[in-house]
Amino acid sequence: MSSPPALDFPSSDMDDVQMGDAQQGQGAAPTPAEGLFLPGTPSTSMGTPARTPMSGFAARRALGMTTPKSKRTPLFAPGTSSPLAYPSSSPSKTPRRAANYGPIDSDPLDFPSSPMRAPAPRNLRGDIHASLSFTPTSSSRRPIRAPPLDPMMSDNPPSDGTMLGLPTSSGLPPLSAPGAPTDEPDEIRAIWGTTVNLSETMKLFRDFLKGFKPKYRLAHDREQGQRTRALASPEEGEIILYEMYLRRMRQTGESNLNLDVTNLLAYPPCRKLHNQLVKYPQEVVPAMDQVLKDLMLELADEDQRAGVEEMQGDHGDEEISEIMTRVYKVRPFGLKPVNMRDLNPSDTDKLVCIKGLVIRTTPIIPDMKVAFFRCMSCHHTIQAEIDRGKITEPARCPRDVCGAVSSLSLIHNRCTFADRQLIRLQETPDAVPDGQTPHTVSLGVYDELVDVSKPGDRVMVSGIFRSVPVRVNPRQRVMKSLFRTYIDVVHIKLSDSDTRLGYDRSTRPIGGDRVPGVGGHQTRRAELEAKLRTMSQRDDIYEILSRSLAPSIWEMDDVKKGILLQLFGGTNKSIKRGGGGGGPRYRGDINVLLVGDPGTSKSQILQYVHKIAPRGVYTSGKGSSAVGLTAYVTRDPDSKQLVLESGALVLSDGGVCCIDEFDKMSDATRSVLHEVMEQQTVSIAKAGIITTLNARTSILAAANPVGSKYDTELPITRNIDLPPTLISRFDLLYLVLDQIDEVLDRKLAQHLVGLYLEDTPMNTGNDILPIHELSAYIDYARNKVHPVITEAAGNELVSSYVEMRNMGDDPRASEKRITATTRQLESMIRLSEGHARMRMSEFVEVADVREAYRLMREAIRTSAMDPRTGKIDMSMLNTGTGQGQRKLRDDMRKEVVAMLDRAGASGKRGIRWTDVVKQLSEQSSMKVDTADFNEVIKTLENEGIVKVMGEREKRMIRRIEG
Amino acid sequence: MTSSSNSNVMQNPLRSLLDLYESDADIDVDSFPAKVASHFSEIFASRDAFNEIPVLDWLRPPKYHSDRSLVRFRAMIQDTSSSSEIYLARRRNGHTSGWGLFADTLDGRDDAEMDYADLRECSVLWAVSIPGESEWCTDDLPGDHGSKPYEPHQEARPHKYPAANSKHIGVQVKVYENSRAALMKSTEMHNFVGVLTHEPLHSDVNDEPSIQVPTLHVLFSRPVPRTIIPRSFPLQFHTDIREELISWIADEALAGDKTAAEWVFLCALARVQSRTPPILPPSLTLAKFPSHGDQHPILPVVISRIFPTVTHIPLSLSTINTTSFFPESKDEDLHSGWLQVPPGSVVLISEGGIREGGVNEKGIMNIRAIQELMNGQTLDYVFPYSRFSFPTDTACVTVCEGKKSVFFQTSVTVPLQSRCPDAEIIQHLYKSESEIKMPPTERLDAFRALVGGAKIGSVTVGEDVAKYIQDDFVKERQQSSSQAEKVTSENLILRMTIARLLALSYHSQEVTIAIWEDTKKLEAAKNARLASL
Repeated sequence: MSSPPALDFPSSDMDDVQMGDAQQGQGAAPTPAEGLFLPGTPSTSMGTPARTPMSGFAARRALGMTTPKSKRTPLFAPGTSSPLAYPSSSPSKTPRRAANYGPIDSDPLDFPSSPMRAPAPRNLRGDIHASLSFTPTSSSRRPIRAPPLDPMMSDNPPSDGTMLGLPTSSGLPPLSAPGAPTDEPDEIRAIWGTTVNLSETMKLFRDFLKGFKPKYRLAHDREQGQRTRALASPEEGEIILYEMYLRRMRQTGESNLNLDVTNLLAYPPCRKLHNQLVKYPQEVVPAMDQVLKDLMLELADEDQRAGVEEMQGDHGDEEISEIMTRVYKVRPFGLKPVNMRDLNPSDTDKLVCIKGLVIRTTPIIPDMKVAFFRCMSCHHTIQAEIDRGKITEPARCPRDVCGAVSSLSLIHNRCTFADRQLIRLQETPDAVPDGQTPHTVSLGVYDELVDVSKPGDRVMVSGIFRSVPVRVNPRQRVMKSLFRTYIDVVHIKLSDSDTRLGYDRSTRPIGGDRVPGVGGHQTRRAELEAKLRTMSQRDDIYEILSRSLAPSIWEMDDVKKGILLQLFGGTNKSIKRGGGGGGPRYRGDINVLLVGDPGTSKSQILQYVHKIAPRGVYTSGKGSSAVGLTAYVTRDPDSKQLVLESGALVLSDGGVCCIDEFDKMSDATRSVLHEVMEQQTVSIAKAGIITTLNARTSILAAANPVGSKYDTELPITRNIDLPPTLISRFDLLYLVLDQIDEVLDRKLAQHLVGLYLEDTPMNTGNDILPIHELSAYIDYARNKVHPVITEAAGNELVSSYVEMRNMGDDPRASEKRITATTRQLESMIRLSEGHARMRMSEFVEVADVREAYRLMREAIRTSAMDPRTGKIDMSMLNTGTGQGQRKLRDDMRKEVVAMLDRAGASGKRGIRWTDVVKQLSEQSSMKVDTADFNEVIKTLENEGIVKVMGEREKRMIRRIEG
Repeated sequence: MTSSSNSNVMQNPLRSLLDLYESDADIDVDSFPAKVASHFSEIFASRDAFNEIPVLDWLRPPKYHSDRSLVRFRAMIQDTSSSSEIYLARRRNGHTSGWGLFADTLDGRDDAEMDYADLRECSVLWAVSIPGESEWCTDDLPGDHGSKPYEPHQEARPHKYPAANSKHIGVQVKVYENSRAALMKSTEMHNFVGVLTHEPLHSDVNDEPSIQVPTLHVLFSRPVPRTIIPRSFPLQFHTDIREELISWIADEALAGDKTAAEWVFLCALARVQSRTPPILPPSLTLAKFPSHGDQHPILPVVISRIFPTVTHIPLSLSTINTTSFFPESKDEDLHSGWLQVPPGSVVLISEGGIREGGVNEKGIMNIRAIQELMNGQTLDYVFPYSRFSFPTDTACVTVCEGKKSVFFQTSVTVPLQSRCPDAEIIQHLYKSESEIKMPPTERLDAFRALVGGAKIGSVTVGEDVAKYIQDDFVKERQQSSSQAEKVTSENLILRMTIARLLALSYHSQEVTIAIWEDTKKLEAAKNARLASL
């Protein structure tokens, strides 16, 4: 670093220089007075044509300053060290710092080797490229406490004048103008080119912190026509909110204050502060930081004097000196978020707020703030500010006595570093116009905000929008006339209100990655919550929701209702005490199976549910929406055709798994489902380790009947090619049949012809919820509502169950058919809970049970009806054979044995298989079912009563003589 | 405008741009881009004047043109995700930095002249040659076909094109008229007219100097119709033109099978009628289509002789497992995929190259992408942590060896039947391009006009026909004796879709009872073939 002429450009720091410019530039300075602005602080809206932020830079170059210096302007940062090439968060924004240590060569005797004597920390905010210097509190406590702008304290010692936050004595090179600040004319305290007076700004903010009460916000919200939360007590509205926050900050050692800018608007005396903050954050935020610190001290002092607990005597002194050493930061948030693509150059250097999805973050970049050098020959030490990763190593030892050339070496562990991180933020699908691909913007985050967000997070960030010219080549002065933009973040809010992401909250540490800082985060969640709650109060909410489920599908109301309750689900229960992992668990997930004719929109329903359900997985015989799948193309041994065999089923814990073509599933997959549907776990054996994973998944499956048409003459178990053990695990089984009915057919045809032959079909949407609202509603209810069964509902459950069991009771029949088992009781409990959840009720009431009972009865009536007897028999679903069928088989068995005995008596050794079947059907009034017949013969064979010989058509059945 | 002024503009487009800028001393930088667009668009308003602008395409790639020359580029927008670029709209010296003027650099002295209030944005897009564009579509743009020697074009960023290996060019397009750029969407086709330069790739991620890419600073642009060449509907044809067209497809590509040819023809005409309720193009499987090693069938080539945009995806396990079918953003660069094709395209998928073997995760996602395109006419673009669903309008035809497609469920399956002996079928279906017998030019033009018109036409249904269809449906359901032949609502929907296509293919503006009956015959022929399998 060269030694510039002391008066003109005394400091090694660019900003210092500008500060100097600013001060001298009250007319006399050779360079235009642009010092109050950082070079990167153009205010495009102001349109002050004479203002040329770069002029200082150019002028310096004109004066023959060295090139490294020219690079110090953030605007020109090549950011060589960073992967994303940003201007770094340079610490050099604090002139005071530079004044103390910066001019390494300025006076070695004054600052010999222990630069650590600076008592108060400098405010090195990476996010704010403050051009103004706000002198941190001086070491003397009492004077500080005096509010610098308080008229009563106008007789402060001049040194306190620096508190006004304007170019300060310390910001000046020691030699240039000692004592100048006190003489500073008032207008310098204004933000350059505007009428904004910073001292007034500081006073306003101070008033705000000391005066804002929640009631102002409520009044403001009401004015805006927003819903407001009722206060618990009138006193709640009268709290001095920010004093409370400040005390909390002291108690928790937190140094960030999150400031909801809407509160500024809501507090009548401060309305214009809001505007100032948005327009000139670089000046206003540091001013606010300063006010914050002053108030922290003031408050601490007040508390100490008042003898507040933990603030007495020495403890209080300690606390106060601790506060003194801290850097306090105000983090504004709460602006209305704008769309990323609506940011334009006129927003440069303004406070903006955008929403997006974090797609990439860099590792933490240690940003060297202060480099520490030691002379190898005389051990003299020097500190130097590091600018954008560039170390300006002093060429020679500054001590006159030593003066050794190239003798300085960097002492790493005595350098100071700060955290920095670069983030790429992408637009979220809801913000992108149709047919466009999302844009991405770069964010720079600093200090406490580093690592607050991770890739995949949805965030709302407030920050300062920057545009910087693109340098063609870092080594050249030539720039393109093109610019790049990014945002220096001052506040990040993780938005968790988005349900579609559906991440598992348990994967995040509890309170582990909270956004730092104290200050109210009144979320939009409350609004949404209120909206959903209101919606749930509607009488017809059940109808609306079920109608919204798949609006394009004709009729099928009960099916939709059943699926709706499945989406809400029952509550998972586990018995806390007991062996193993806390005793048995009872699943709350409801499983639904749709069986029916092809062409009855089963797949459509599944696809729809997949879209609504959080963490939904859609699987069918042809591929799956899940990741981690593989498949195999193989030649079918029978048809010799190539077929695709899909691989393993992927389930998501806590989601809905929609399985289309359930009947075409491989046996391996089905066996997995057995476990999933009853135990809610998946066992995995890999590399010699067997482990059990949670799979709390509800299954929505659709199956086609055997031979792709449903035979109404046969019971359901014969129509679907699924083991009864699996079928019985479904809470609801719906038959979706395509019945011929002239009136209905005509209506359907009319509907379809109208729909499909119009050139621009009418959109038929009456009172249905859009998909995202439905999804939000379900998600909210699932997470927040955990209904408990009331006593009345319990009784109703008992009586419904008894009633259901009695459905099979036929006083005339000698045998007892089973119509309901405990499985059905459990299903009924889950469905009632789901229904209560749907109403967002904390209690399961009688009405919920009635609806659950109705749904189950309807489902059972269609599915568990034995078409041969017309009676309901649950054992048909549970074991695959109904009561009537068992009786039938017994009869058949007797007849076969009798037939064989007769044949044996007549000397024949056996009867042909086909003849047996023929004879049987001649005798029986009903059709002889081959499957039944096979089963009977198999049993007889197993029992050693008959023997089957030969192959296929030539099979003979022979009686084995005992 | 006189032709001499046109040639002036063509010789030095930037000079005339500057003249325009300087002509107005008190220029408003906000409205200037619109002014530029209307000014130049006026100069080249007439078809002849427009056609005189040199063409940028595979035959006349960027290197063929001199730097900063005026070109037109008929392209598909591939990627709109680049952030806007900010440029200095007004300089102290009274110039603008837009449109690649002034070597894009400020020297030291210019620094002092910069005013942040003069910064403006321009949109940066990536555009590529139209994927699957048939060669004959370029014929109406007369130009000097490669009269100048140039080195073969080496595409710098082939991953931005759906079929990375085929001949194409990709260009960075800068649109200064932001209101217009905001409406430009991925896969849309536009005719960009502008100044061609070479510039570094616009990116705000890379720290190393980015590669130089051809860049087009757009003066004005025009949308390209989905038929590429503007068409009209209905046109008057001899009724036999349609039959001739179908026989020609049958003879040249399908071993004389006219039924199959008609189905292929109808399905290729289809487009999205409406999304709510979904009236989407039916997908077709041409089954029992013998495979012949790794050879590609001639069908896509034949189709491309009459359809404007046709993409052939030869499926094999390696294409499924290693290439991408859907666009995916990698390192913030949107890579293209096979299915990123302009609306109105016909995608022909041949499964002949499939052998037994494993399909990996990428393959499954690819298969799913095609299936979703067939089912819902949407294509998901994959971005980190998010997927964006883009509407597509693509007719899909699959040819497979078996009774049905290995991977896909299509709305219609038609088995191929030919009277030729088996040995000859292969020769027919897999003949070389030179063996195609092209019809006489005026016939060919009529074919293309018929196809083009049908692709944009619309048909209605009269009250009486609607009534007829309803009655027919009810009657048929009552007559159906068994479950198997029962007509479901899905059958009805498909039949109505086909009837509409049939009407379009006749250039009839209305679905008549005759067309409805024809549709049923067509369906019956298909069902008979399926039953005989």
